[in-house]
Amino acid sequence: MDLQEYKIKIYPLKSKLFRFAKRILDHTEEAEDVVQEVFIKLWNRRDKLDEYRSVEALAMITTKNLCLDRIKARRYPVENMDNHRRFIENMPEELNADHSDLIYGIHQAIKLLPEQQQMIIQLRDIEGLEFGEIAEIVEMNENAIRVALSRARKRIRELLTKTKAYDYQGN
Amino acid sequence: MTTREIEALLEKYFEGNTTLQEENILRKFFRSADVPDHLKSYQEMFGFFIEQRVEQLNNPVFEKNLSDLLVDEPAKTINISAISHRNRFVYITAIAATILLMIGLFFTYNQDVFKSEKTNHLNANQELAYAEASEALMIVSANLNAGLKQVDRLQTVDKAMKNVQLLNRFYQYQSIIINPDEIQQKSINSK
Repeated sequence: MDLQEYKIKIYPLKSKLFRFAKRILDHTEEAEDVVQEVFIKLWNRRDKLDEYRSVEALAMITTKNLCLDRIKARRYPVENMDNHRRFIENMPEELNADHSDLIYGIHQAIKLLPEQQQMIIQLRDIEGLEFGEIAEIVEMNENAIRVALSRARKRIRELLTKTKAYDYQGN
Repeated sequence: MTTREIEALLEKYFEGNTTLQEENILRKFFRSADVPDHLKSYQEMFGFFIEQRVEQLNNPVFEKNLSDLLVDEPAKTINISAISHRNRFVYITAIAATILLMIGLFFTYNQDVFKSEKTNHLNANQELAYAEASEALMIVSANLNAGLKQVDRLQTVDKAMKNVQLLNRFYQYQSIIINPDEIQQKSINSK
């Protein structure tokens, strides 16, 4: 694979890889570093990339592994608010403060999930991947993925109904 | 899609049993304006997922770094550990600084360690000589300063002496005026 082909096939994955890394790491700069590292790793294996059935899956797996390595290497939990901040900044004007609280709440709810569930929510509900693809990336069987996904979704719903119940009380 | 069907789909969704197509139906439904009140909270959830997918990696620095790194040369691999990572850079700098500091301190306090006994002995003499020489020079310098002050006073004496000379001349001329013969005789005698 030469640079031209690499740019056409691999470069367009960058935002998807970035979102995935950011979901796991919850840190913009670290996620960028990871994506750069993934791109270099793939570039170093450019002669063998054609042998893989899906380069995208390979890229996602590499991203996942690098992110998990980084989390293991962390000595302190990273308290990062930049997701929330960016959301408030980019919020369409017709939405009110309740909405931003809710978005923040969903963020927090996902952040509190086990890493595997976070990844699965990201890959399924945000990126819209098939179970087969997700199975390959997170290295779990499809059934286990469905179970994890169900748990994650229910946790988010729990948060939403709690928030809403509080809302109605307030009104 | 009726509300009933949506509710059934939602149930399936929370069990993790919906297909991508069914999830798309849910997404579309919740994006529309007419969502019944009791389902409104799910609207936030699906809206959140859609919003999350929009985020792009748009960092010019990232693009530049990457295009600098990826060069189309066959069989050239990039050593990831050689690339400066934010964290790694800080660690390496800290370690390097510590090592340099330790080396510096070691040499400062153990200068004799690397010298042989002989030079050590010589050195002791040299140091002694140096110490004595500098002490002597310090005394000389201090006394010289004191002496220079005295010299300053000498200059006032000089001035006074000039006045005295003037007085002397005055006496000479006076004696010439009073006893010209005597002076002449004296000058002849001196010749």
